[in-house]
Amino acid sequence: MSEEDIKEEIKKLRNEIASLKEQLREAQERRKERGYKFYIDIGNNIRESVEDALESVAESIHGELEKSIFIGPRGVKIIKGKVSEKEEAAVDFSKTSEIMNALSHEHRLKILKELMSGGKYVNELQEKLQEITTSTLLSHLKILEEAGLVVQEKVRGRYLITMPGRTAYKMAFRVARFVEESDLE
Amino acid sequence: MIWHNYQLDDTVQKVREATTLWKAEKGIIEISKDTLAVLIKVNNNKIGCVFHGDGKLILDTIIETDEGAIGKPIEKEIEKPFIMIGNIEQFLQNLVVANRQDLAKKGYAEEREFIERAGDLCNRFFGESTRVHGCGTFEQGFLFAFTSGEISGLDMLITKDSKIVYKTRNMTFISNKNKIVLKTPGKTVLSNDGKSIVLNAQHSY
Repeated sequence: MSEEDIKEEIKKLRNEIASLKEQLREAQERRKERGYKFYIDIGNNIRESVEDALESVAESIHGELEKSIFIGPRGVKIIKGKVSEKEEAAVDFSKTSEIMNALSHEHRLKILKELMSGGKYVNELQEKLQEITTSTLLSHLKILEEAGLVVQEKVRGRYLITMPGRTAYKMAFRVARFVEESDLE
Repeated sequence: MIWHNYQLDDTVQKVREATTLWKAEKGIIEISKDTLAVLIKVNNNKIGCVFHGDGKLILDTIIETDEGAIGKPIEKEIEKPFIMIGNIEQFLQNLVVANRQDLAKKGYAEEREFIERAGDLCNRFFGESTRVHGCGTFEQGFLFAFTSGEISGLDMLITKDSKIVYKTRNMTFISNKNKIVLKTPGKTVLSNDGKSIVLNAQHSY
């Protein structure tokens, strides 16, 4: 089929759609004249209606997200409000990236999980995570410490998970679970 | 004990070997070999010492809460003269008379220069810290006063057994076993056995 033929076909289709719309409009007018109480307007407003409906759903989801709750081991925490544009603009992407990088290793997530139950010495972590060598463990702890997810006591030497570390771990865990639950296959 | 009428010994001594002045679960103060020392006396009783050498203060101003640890360790080099008040007797056997070379290492031409500098520090301490004058003899505890940069105030560390009070211009840390208070310009944390209240925290839940 040549380009000219295609253009001609499209023109015919447009005319046909215009004709159908006109017939539909006339039919609706007749139904109104006949006094039908209910009729469905599927004419020119159909696109606006669908768009309105979608917007409504989007608003509803957004509203739910604004009052999302996080359920932790010690109860329910409600996130009040949303991140303001000012706060969003102040986000340090470099720091965010550092934190995400610190979380992006299975071993480091396992270390955080162990620290969730309380501060631990290196040998205690080593006992729990026998698949990791001591040097690798120390290297992972350094990355976690630099990201601010873990802090080491200088006197006793124990490693503790920080408040941001605990939050980051819980969020990573929730995202993973959310992805798993969202998989419909 | 009245500390207004303090006197400084007229002999400058030095530490024979590296010494730990204080050590607890949350902190440690060490001084290196050859640190200069002059005794502080009240009514001929040795109540403390002014040291000047290379030292180190480590203090774990960290609070463990159910929501994670808050705070971070403090690690400071102590290069300027500082005061220690407390039972000094245990350290006396580690002190010997300092010679000119020892004084020169810290930039003093003679004993009197160090004693005068120690006196200036003591005047600041006894003049400013009126609140601690009635705290007792510190037979079992220690009080340390450090100069902090160009700022006129002194950083204070008061310890007794497991109790710690650390006060600087920007932070206050009070610890008594599992009861801890940490106040910084950004936040105030009150903790009791892991149950904590965090005020003005940056982390929103």
